[in-house]
Amino acid sequence: MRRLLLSIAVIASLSGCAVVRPHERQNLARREMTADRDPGEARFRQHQTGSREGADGGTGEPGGGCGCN
Amino acid sequence: MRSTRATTTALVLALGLGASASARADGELQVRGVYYKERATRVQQPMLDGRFDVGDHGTLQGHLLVDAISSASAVASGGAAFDERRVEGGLGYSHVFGKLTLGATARYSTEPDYRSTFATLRGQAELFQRNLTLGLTVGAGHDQVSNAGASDLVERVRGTLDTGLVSASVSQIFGENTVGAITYDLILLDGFQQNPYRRVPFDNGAFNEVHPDSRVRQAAALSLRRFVPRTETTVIATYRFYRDDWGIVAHTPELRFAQAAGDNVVFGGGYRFHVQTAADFWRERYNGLDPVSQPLRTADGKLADITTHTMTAKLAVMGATFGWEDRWADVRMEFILEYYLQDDRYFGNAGIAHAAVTIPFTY
Repeated sequence: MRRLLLSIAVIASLSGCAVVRPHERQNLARREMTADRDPGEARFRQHQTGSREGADGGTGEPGGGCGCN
Repeated sequence: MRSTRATTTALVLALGLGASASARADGELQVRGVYYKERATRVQQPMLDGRFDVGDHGTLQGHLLVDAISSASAVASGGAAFDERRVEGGLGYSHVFGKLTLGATARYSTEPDYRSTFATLRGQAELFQRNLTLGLTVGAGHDQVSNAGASDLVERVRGTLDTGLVSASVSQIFGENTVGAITYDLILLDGFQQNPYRRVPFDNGAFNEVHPDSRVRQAAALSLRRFVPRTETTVIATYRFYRDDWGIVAHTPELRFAQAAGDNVVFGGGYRFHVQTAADFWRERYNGLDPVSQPLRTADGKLADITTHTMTAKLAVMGATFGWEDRWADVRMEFILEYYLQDDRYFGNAGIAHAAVTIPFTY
């Protein structure tokens, strides 16, 4: 947990030296650079791995929701 | 099936009516079908996803899906084959207030022996000329579980499960072609977490599975996306670390790529590796053990030490490829094939196929 907070702090501190202006964001706006997985694909994947693996999370989305345990 | 069709129609109408208040806005509808096959279980999942702009600053999202599950799995059903249908619906709305975006989602899922409700609130702030994005999600859920699918001779089991979620995320642009993110999830579960059908074999008979009532799950995921302009290739690397207080520790790295072939075709692939330790109370065999001395016992393959490899191939084609014009030129068709290799003794390998069509529209 401490390492995670440190990582967040390091990333946040980098923001001052890597400013990319809106007109320079053509490549960042590509579909693959924002979310290469549609919501339906991501939802099914989380459902699938959640019903076969003991680990879950890391997506910011609630897993579970079914009697797949 | 009739009720599913009616619910789908209602969702589409509700989303459409809700969105029609604005003059002209964009949206998209996606229809996706997934077929999943493992050794003893088949799942067919049709789903509908909708996204609608509401005014200049709002976005409404909704989904509806049906899980049609056929299984002959002794693991999942406690020895009996079964066919089951699960219906899930979800709605979400987010609103942009300058650099701040606030949103809420709700999800409801029902099947004969399980009902689940989950709601989230999310806030997101864009800082430093939108180069840094901070996000916070909190959520809560309530599930009801029973063994309604068991024979009448079996004692009825009912339970509830409460879930809490806190998720924090940081996303940072590192240059014109690179973006990275960290997400940390804390998930708290309290209540019925075992399978109400599954039995654990001992020398002197089979006993009900018993898991702890509480579970604290933590996951931290890192991701880095980089676009290579010269080849028009996007490379996505992710890594997730997971641990919980049941003793499971897991590492999950994944590498994906997406390659543009002209303006209207993107193909890609990926490899995901997952390795985890077993839960403290999981045993390969309970033979020779006294069930009284094993108050926590499980036959859940997910709680074993597992290694999985997942290979994915993906193709996306825009309507313009076929000479379609106007809005149909932006229709997106997607096909995914996936193979899931797992070394465990329970589920076996699995094959997954997706086909999806996304239709953008203006209203």
